Amino acid sequence: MSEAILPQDRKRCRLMVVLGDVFSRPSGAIGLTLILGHLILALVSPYISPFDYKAMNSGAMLSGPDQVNWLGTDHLGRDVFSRTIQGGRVAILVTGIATPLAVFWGGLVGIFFGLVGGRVDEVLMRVVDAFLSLPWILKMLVLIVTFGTKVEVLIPTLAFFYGIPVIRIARAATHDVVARDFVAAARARGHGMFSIMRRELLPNVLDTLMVEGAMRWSWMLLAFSSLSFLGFGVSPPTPDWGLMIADARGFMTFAPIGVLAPVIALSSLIIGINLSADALAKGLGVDRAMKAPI
Amino acid sequence: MPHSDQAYDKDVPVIDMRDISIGFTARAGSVIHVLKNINLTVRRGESIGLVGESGSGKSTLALAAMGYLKHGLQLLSGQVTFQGQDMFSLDTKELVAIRGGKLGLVPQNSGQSLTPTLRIGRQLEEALRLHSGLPQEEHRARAIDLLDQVRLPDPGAIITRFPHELSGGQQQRVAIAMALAGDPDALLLDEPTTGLDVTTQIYILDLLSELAQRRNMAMVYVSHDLGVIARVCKRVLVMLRGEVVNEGTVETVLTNPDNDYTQQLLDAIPRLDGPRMPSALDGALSDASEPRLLTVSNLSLSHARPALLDRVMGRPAPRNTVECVDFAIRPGETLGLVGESGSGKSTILKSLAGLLPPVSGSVVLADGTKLPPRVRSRGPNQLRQIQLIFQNPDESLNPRHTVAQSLAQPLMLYKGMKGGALRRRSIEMLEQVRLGESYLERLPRQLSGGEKQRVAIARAFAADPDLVLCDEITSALDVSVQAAVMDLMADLRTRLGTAYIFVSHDLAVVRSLSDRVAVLRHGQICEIGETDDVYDAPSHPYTRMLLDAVLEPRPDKGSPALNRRGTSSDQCS
Repeated sequence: MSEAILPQDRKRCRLMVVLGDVFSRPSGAIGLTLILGHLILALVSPYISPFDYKAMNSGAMLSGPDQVNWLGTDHLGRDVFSRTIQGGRVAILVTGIATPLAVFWGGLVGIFFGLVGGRVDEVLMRVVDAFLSLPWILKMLVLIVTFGTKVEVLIPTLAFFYGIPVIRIARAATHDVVARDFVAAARARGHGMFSIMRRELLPNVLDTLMVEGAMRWSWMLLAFSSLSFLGFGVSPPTPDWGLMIADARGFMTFAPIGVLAPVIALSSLIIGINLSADALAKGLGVDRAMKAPI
Repeated sequence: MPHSDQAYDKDVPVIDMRDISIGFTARAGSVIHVLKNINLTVRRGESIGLVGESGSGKSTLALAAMGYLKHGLQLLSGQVTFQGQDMFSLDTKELVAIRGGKLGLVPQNSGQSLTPTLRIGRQLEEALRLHSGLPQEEHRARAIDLLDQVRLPDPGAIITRFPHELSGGQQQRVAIAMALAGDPDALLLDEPTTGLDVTTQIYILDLLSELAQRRNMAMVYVSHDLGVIARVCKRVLVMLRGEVVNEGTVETVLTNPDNDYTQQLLDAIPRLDGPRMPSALDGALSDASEPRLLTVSNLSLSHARPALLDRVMGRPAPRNTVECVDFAIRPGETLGLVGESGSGKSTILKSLAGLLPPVSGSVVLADGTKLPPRVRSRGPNQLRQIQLIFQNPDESLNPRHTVAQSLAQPLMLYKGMKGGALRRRSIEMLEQVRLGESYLERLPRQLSGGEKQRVAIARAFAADPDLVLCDEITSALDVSVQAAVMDLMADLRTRLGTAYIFVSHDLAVVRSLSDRVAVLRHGQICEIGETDDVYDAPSHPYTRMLLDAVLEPRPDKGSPALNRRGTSSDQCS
């Protein structure tokens, strides 16, 4: 049995080593703490929030912070604190599922293009370029307006459009590897295309994909919040940062906290993800600055 | 300390390194020495060779002469002076003035040290602007003059070219010209000819000797190749693990080494007239009617695929890389393929491995069937029969696979092994190449170069092949490791009776292993025959030229000088 266990053992160790490495860097420690805090908050917020997020209090609309409503109330008299701590739940759920999907399909297609090369690659990459040249919000709005703003629509839509830039990255990373002799060796041995992708290419591209995934996550969160802001994401009264910012911005002059609270929540998560991605890139050696000759 | 040429006394050594120790502090806090108590003095007009295996500290020593240490290294003790100035006490500005000025460096891989986006002329003029002190308008003329000094044909045209438009040998000469821009008193050469083929190499070496003599320049020449050192240097330092183990004139060190390591280094070099390794089968070549393992007839290969536009326009296709090659291999026989770089040796192997379909010609197997040109159309048994070993094990082993995973690929693919049987067979294969079970879970980066190549060899033999294609399998290795790998290949051949096609640009390596040799030039076989016949009595003038260009670590063995403006391979296409 020992021989069957050994490889997995090594992989688990590697994951721990990488996580430990990320955590040992200041940026990684701050980033991971922020992400972890948001994840825990998203899980437990329904049980700890002082008010129901949709409970309206017409007697205290747009009130400032006080002992009862710590961050005041919004224009409908709802508690801003309760809404803020629950405002990331849908966003994290949607992007948390859509990001791995995007990296998976984008990575797969990118590695395939990189391996096949030649005219197929040439033609299909122009299609990818065409997609990339359109403003993202336009493409997404078309799909969302057609199919509705349900979570089941948002996840595949985000996953599809955010997978396209991953194709480029995965293809470029594959190009670095595909010309090397071990791929030629696998070809000469007669391995199939899929076997070469899985055994020879994927392990060498995985680091890049992981870092890319982390970056994609932060962009996707921003995109999701933008959609909510425009009214195409979460439907009221479900609390969502983007939606909260949209609702509160009209009253920004006399109740600034209504905008500030969701902004700080959203940016802290995005900053956390970016810092972790940065530390992950350095830890995995994907970061180009680390490879530069001294 | 201000310095002027007039104050400089001719007897003062140009480079003087006293009791140099260089090392780094390990994580645990202990100091690890890279160089230990080394003394090196170089006078004007003197050329000194630093020889040793990779990792022996020879490059570190040469770079320390420039006052340069790699990141993390520190000078632990000693003093480095260049024309009386302590290099490690100078500030950056003074160092920059010396480096590239009075002290030139020619790095190993010049193709990479030239800026790819700048024309040769611009790069040379930049060096002149920084170091020559000439007025701006004389720079261009001086650049052309420098290129002429390194005997580049048509310097006026070269300065308008980009680095990628020059051949490897020409790039190396440009790098030398650049080092000469500051009119240096000393030149540091870090393996300047490694990676060039023999004829280009000998040409560059002669050029360097001549320049040193003419300019009365000091040279420090770093190489792992004793033959190269013997050709250009008067004095040699043999280094091992950061220490000088042998020092003296080239004559005494090479003919009468008083040190075991130097002797080992010398013994490890295959020589043209040295003893051959035992042939696999006695009289392997005696019977011409013996069955043939593989017959290659009329094989033409080309890397270029005609573009649609070219076809429409009716432009002629570029010349084939390999043109109408015929040869045959018998079971258990070793055929050596030699030739300069670009002669099509590796291309032939690629085609046999099914990675490059031929333009025309055929390959017929022992049972009379034609070998399909593409890997994809070959049957499992045909795939198993022919295995390929690559030049550089760093490239041919997947850095993310353990040794066990690498060995498992052919075993699972061809034999469907798994579990205990797979593991047992993997260990068996490792033992065949003189490694053990403990290597199974290691990653390539945890292995030395020689160990990696052994794993690559084990992987090829795991398929139980009838023919192994060896593509320069020893040229990325140190001489002593090279000897061990060759020994292993000979041993495997004796035990398993496998046939080899052995490609190398090193004629001595090919001789020591091959039963027959084919000499390739410009994609055509210009001579093929039994090894001894070809080496002892070459019938083709090109074979003779190749043999003459081989450098042997013997001070007395001179080689005829090659024509001055470079050889055929040296011309830019």
